[in-house]
Amino acid sequence: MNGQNAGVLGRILNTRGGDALKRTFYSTAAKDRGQAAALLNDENTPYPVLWMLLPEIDALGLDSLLSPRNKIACDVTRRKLRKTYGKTLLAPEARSEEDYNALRWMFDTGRDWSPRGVRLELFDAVMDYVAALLIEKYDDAEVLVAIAHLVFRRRRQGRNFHDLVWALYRSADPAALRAIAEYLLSRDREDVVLAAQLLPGGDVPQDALEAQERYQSVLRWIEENGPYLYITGEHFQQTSAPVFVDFDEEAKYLDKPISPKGRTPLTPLTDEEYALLAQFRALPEEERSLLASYSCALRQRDREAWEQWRHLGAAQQVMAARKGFEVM
Amino acid sequence: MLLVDNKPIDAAFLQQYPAGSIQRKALEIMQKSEETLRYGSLDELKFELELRNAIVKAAEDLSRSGLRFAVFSKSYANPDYWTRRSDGGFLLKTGVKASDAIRDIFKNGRLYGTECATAMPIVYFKALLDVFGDEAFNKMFSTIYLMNWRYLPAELSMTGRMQKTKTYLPGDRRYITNPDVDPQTPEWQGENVIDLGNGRYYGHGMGRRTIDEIVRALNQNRFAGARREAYLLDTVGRPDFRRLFREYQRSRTQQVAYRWVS
Repeated sequence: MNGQNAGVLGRILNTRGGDALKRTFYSTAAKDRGQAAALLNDENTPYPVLWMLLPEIDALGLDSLLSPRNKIACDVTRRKLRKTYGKTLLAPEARSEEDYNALRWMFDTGRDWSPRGVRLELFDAVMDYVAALLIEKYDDAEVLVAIAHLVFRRRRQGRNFHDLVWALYRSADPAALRAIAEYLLSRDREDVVLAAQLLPGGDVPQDALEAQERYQSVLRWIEENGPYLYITGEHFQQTSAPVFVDFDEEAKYLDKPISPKGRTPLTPLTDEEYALLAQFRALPEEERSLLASYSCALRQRDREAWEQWRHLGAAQQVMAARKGFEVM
Repeated sequence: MLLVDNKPIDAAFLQQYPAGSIQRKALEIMQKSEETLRYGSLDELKFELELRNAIVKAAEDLSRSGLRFAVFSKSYANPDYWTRRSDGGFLLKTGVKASDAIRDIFKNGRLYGTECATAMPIVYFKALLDVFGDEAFNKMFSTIYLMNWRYLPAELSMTGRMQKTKTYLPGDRRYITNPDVDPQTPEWQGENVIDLGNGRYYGHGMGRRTIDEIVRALNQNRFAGARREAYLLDTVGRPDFRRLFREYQRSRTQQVAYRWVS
């Protein structure tokens, strides 16, 4: 929350705290409800102000005077806090730019803020919800790196980050994975442990040298498998060693980018690709892994040679892959 | 197929467990399994059966304890035994015996509220307490942090790892996942359950239900327009029975030795 551009109420919250904010707001509203609403509606007002003043907004019945942005933010907050079940305001078929802008404002101006006491956890829960909506319903890739950093900040502060991790892995964006990988190089051992748990591969590096190796190998893994990544749906509520994202071997073999959510090809398969897939699926697991890796390595090295190789029969592909890896 | 020391077990071993008991049900499933399940000794097999029985009993007892469901941001615990931390987990208080603290959850369940991923380790801790006894249990767990699968002691780490199997037994942990859960309620992203051996499963917040009932409840918490239904994963979570058996033998030996010298 930028103190200089936070509007009148944001500056009061930053410099004098929540109690002073509530007093100032209440006395303003007692004299002039329109003026109080205008302060809230100031475009520079950050979301934490609205969060702090939500009980006053309710008590004073100011909803009708709020800007569309603030009305949406209040609604999202109340839904999360009061557990209003049923059809959500932000159903996928009802995407709107106004909703999206309000959510981004909540996230951008709220993510670095930390209220004190038990309300901190409720605030974090709202931020988790906002992050999940931005990723799940608006496919907003811009927030992913910021969410990755927020996960580690919360870990350092002993705050809950598990629903935020869950929200983060509603996407399989390589940029977010790279941001997490940076924490493998952290001097804070617990950062390294968490980064290792969140990334493919799992093993926790034991020293700086291992961490550097793991970092490089994760970057190579992301580079190699980025277009073929899908979300597994695993998380810490389900298992102690979740594999959050993985790559699809068939997609890697065919060089067919997939949708991370649906694990389906972004473009329809051709007849030739169907035929290749049929022979690929008939192979044992070990040979399928070999062909997926070799296919990717060969096409990165020599596209023309890959075109020729993929037209071989399955047995010949396997033999060529075994020999090819020996000389690569 | 079930092999103990590379031999099938005899009928007398099976008969020692009453029909309908958890141990007997588990044995019957093991014998019919298409997998080969190997045990080094009858004692090792008996230990696993006893622990499975204790897991089922602990799950049944926890479902009757009054333990409430609460998301981590609103979780609560009896402060006489546990310190609630800001991530929503419960840390065993210094100077408190682990056995007393775990038992209190079952005795005063209404003083506790948490998510299903915390309830599962509570079941395992109680089962170990019942099988090992207070003394050995308190030696094993001088500290406990109850939260989710990320925070397990080494003795229970395997319960957090899901493994493929073709043999589903009473006392197994299963998971019903809800891929299209509404982001407003991530606590409905799935349900950890214990197989009670009678077609019902204990899931915290749901009680003792069939899989269909749990799937229906999860489906009601998907986002509008969701296409995918909740479903039961084919994997299971199990304690490392062999490791715990060795611990158990060690603890018995130590207790006997202690009695001899005292």
